[in-house]
Amino acid sequence: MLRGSITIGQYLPIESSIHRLDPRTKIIAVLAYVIVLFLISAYTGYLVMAGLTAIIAVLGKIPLRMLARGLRPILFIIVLTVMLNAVMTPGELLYRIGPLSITEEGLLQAGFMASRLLLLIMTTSMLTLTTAPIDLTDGIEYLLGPFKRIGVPAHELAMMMTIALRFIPTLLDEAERIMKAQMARGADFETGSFIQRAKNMIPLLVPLFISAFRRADDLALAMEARCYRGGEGRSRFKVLHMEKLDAAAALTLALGFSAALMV
Amino acid sequence: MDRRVIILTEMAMALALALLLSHFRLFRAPYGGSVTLAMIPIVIIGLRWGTRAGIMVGVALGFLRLMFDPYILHWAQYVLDYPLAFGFLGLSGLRIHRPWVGITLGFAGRFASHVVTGILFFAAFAPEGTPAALYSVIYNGTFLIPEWLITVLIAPWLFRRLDDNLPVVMDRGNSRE
Repeated sequence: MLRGSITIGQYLPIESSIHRLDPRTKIIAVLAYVIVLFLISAYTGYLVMAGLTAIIAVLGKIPLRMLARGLRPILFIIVLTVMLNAVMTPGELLYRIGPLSITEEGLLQAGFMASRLLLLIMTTSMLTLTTAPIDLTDGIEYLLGPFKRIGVPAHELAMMMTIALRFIPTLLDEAERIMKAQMARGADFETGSFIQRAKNMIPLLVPLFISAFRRADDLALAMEARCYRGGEGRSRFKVLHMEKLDAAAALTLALGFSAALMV
Repeated sequence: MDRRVIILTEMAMALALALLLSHFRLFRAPYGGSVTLAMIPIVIIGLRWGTRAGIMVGVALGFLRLMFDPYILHWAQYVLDYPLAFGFLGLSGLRIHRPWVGITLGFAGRFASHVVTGILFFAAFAPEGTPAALYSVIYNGTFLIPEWLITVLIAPWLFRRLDDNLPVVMDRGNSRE
């Protein structure tokens, strides 16, 4: 009942050159991509960006249907944006539907906005499709590293995320077991008004939280037994390396972004 | 035991709980946005270990959500809608008067970040003259107000239940910032 409805993460574990890139390269690339997308003011620029996205999708061996699935949640926003722009932009009149007038400029503007949204969603979801969550966490720790000086607890944040990722499946099993046990006692998690449903969750929440916090104490003991004492001087099993591939990717993207901004 | 390690592991478990609970939708708002119990673990960490710990769990939840369900419609959204919005919930650790004050402040902060993103979104995608601020307030209100209500009702109570039921591993008396 829970397993089916919860899919956490969308990582696609296959072998490709995009998958092999350093997570830091990919995070920075996506940040840059999104910013560039907002700086572009000509249609041709979008073509270049769409080209880059297509290259990444092909190199990353991402099935088209995965990309399409990512678009479903924003369908409503795309339709809304297109309609707002088509109707509300002043300009040369094309059609008139009652009090609404659709203008040529409006349609152009609508196309512009829709392509921006489509590219945004497809490219950002490619980061999570091609990078394992643990690698992303590592990448975030490195990228936040410079901010340690102003008091950003980069190591603790990353360590916390890594532990959480490890324990999500465990807690999910636990939640499922508790739900079954409480349902056998007549608990109802599915029906009722929303206040009623929130109330019904309490027999699940109390045991789930208590067991999770007990686990936290055990884990702290286990970590201390292995001499964990914070981020300073801790060595790693897997060290991130920038390779030639990362340089090539960075160069290609830099060229692509400049082209998109200039045309 | 080292207090920092216990706080770290409790934060991690709360983070896992928050991520898990964010997939239990109690109610889905008409235009996207849903009401979940995901804020409860963040608030409880704030109450147990203070504002700094609460904010850290919130920010980490923001990063993980950004990883799992990226929903980027604007460049400023990386920060505003994710780490910052959830980070605010850590304000539950402020010990002003009663727990609900801090929780409400946290939700007010989260509401403000979402509203600002909404305004930026309309500025970037809708023609000029759209009443952006109004739309953004209504849209975010439809799911944040019910979520605030259930969090304020459940979290302080659950916090006390945990205190009564967990073995005392260490005195938290002077850890509250």
